[in-house]
Amino acid sequence: MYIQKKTDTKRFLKFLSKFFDVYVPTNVNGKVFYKKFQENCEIKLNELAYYPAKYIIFGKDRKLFSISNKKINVDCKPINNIAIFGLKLCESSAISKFKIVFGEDKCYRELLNRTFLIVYDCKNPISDYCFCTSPAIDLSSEYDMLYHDTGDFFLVEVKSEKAHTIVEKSGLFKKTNKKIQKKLKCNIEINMEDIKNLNNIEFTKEAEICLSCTACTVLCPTCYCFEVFDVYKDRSIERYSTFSSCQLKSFSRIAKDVIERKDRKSRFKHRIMHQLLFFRNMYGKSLCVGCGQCILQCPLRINWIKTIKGIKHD
Amino acid sequence: MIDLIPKFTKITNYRKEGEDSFTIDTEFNKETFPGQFVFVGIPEIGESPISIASYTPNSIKLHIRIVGNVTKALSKVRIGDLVTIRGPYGNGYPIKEYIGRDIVLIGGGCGVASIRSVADYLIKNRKHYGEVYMLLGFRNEKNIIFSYDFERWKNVFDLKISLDKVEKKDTCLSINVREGFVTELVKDIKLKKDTIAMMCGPEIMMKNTAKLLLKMGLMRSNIYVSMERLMYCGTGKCCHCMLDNGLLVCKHGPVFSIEEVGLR
Repeated sequence: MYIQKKTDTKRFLKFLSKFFDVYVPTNVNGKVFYKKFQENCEIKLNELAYYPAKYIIFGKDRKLFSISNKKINVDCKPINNIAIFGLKLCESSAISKFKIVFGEDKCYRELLNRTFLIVYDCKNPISDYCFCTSPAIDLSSEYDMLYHDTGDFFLVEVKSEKAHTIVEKSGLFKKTNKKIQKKLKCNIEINMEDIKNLNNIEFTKEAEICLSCTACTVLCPTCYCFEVFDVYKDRSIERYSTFSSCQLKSFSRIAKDVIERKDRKSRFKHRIMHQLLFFRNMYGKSLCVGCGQCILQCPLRINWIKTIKGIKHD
Repeated sequence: MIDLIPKFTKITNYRKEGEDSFTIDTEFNKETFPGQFVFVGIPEIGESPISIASYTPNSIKLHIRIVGNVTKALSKVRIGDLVTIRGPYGNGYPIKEYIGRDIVLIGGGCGVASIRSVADYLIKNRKHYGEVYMLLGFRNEKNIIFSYDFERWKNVFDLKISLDKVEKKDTCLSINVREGFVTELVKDIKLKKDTIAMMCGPEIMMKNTAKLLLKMGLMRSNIYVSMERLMYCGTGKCCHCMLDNGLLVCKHGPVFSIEEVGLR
């Protein structure tokens, strides 16, 4: 365990910038976005970023390969090393879920090897809709460093070898025997009993008001569904994958315009089932990290957890 | 993603098939199994998942119906042209598990292509299986596919054909045709209760046929259907082909037993 004076943190981020493109959560017109670190920036640590870290690390569109003269060219080398400071544990866990799904792929591994994740530990739930401490939510994650705010200074857990080397080189940390006391408890939690009963639940009230705007999937740190498209560029064809949303009718379109999940209720339920149950069936952990963004950022604040817990909606 | 990288492959045969479909043969040096599929495509247009309609070394046959931009572009290829292929994907029919049993193969429309791959396998391994019924249903004469295989199949299987609607009295086929849905062909045969059924076709056809087979005493775990859904990756990652029970058609299927997917 290490201690860092709060006045040294920005100096550390400046030091880190020698090796990485450093992203920090900053205030942009009242919302928090990950932006490249600048010394005079205001770092906002007590809110979740609007666009999750998946877009910083993987990009919205990911180039898979290019084709020219009937030859396929794969370029796995990511452009830069990326460090993100101020990720919450839920966001960091979300990146680990991506590793579960895509980690076998050489290009994804290359990308993840070049990221440096610094988590900011939440002392209290960020919103009323956080449920990350739920027994049904898996929050395991691979991060490099964890910052715990004691008020006077940061207690810093240094996890990875990469982080140890950087911490020693920077000279901005002091070793300590102090320990982090974790007390975080969310106001609402989903239990394994709730998961067992999930298939029997109908999200009728939610579907009645849902607009299928897809905010829940776009702003979800773990939603990884994608589609593929080709672009003609500079005499070659480039194939990209881009994030897509199961909330759209076209997501489950079969040939000749037959829609598999036509009604909103089934699309609404499908996302929750995938996040809480289907992913667990395939990989042994929940996909959902309990950040509550799908409720907090929903234009209608549709609180589907209330239905799961049998709580009456307003 | 490395597993999405296709290979340029040469077309070795092209044949107009049904009213709005065609069959191509391509070189393919990977091992395949009946029921699996590949992604075939043309760069800049896109890719489509297509069932492999054969079980032959070093080549695959693909039957493609023109339903959108990709399949329309593929319909214009000719012998010697290059297309991109990747695969094979999917689990295939569990035919190896049922040595010694009676098999009923049921194909509807384009689904006959997938069933054709099982037929190829069974011909090579005919002595290991009991009675094999091959029941194929098409909309009308114009939509009959693989008619050139009927004579060959007639010699090895109990082959029956149905047409939803018989438009011409003389179909020029060397085999009798029954008017009606393929379920009428199922009703005509006496199946042993431990018969294994393998089907591919429109979902409504597979659902109605499965209900009939269950009534006839076949077990849920012995009735197999081949499903299709929108797919981009074929490797279980893009999630477009996820069924309402969480199973992925590309990875856990496309062949499922009725016990796994139920009858909707």
